Amino acid sequence: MELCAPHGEASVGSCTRCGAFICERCRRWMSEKPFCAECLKRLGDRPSREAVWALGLATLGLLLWVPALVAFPLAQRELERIAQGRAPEAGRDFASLARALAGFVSVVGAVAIAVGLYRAFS
Amino acid sequence: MPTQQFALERNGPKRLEVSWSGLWKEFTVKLDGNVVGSWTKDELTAGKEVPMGDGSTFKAHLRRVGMGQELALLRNGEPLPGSAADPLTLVKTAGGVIYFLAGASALGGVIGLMGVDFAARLFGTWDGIVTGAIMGVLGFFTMQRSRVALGIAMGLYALSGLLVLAESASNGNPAIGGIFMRVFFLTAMWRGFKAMGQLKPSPAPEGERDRA
Ligand SMILES: [Zn+2]
Ligand SMILES: [Zn+2]
Repeated sequence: MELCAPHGEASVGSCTRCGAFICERCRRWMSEKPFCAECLKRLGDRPSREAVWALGLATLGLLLWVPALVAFPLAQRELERIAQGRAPEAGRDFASLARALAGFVSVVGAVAIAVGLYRAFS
Repeated sequence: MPTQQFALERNGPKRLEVSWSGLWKEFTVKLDGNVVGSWTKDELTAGKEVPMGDGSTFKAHLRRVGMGQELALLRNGEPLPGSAADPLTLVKTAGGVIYFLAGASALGGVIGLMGVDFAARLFGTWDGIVTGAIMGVLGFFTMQRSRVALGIAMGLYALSGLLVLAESASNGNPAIGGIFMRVFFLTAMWRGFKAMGQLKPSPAPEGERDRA
């Protein structure tokens, strides 16, 4: 029977990233895949800088519009990285909120600017 | 037939499935496809508990919360990750509510700015946009688990509600409909505020504790 290194307990699988045997106590999850505690710590259990920036820029977009245009692709890319297990899961809520807000602000701002221009030149 | 899936451990595989039909009839819980138990509506409101086979217990409880109700799903007394009573879900919901209010205010302001009269009266123009941005910043810090930001957002929202109420009452036409909406949103924020105090540190410190 395979044993995990940190505890010497019966393994229930192996880490998605490094392949180490993991017992139930070592096992952590990300995007429904098992990881060892060490790898999860390396990836981080906090939202990535990209995820926080995406939400920050989307928020700034509420007042200044343009940052929302940057936030949208940033949030989209971060969500893809999370799905691939390359960015911490903790950023998912940030990135999905950022994408929704940035999309909303981009569209509303674009319509408002279009209406303003139409009025100014007609 | 509404169906929801949950993981037993945070971010883990969604092994548990709850389903029901109509208004909480034939409420059934399955683990890996095997039925763990079923609840009648009365058992659900009473909060029946069943053993789960792996030594843990599972409780489904439909309980009143403020003006609404929530389906609490508890394993060994702890809310399942992502379920209604999960503190992380409650904090996320509070952040989402603040962002929703921010977006609504900014949108109202933009529409008001375009010269639509009723939006201008309801949200203002630039002031609506600035209010939206301020709420957005408070939502941003609420997502980062700042109790102060969430408290300020609640305070501002409650205060603006009181002002609206006082103004409409002095016109002899109190805005009752708006109160229900405000109480609803304030309840969600208050639950997030309380939940922030219950949030446990995330998995990494726990891993360190294992080695110690
Ligand atoms: Zn690993
Ligand atoms: Zn172990």
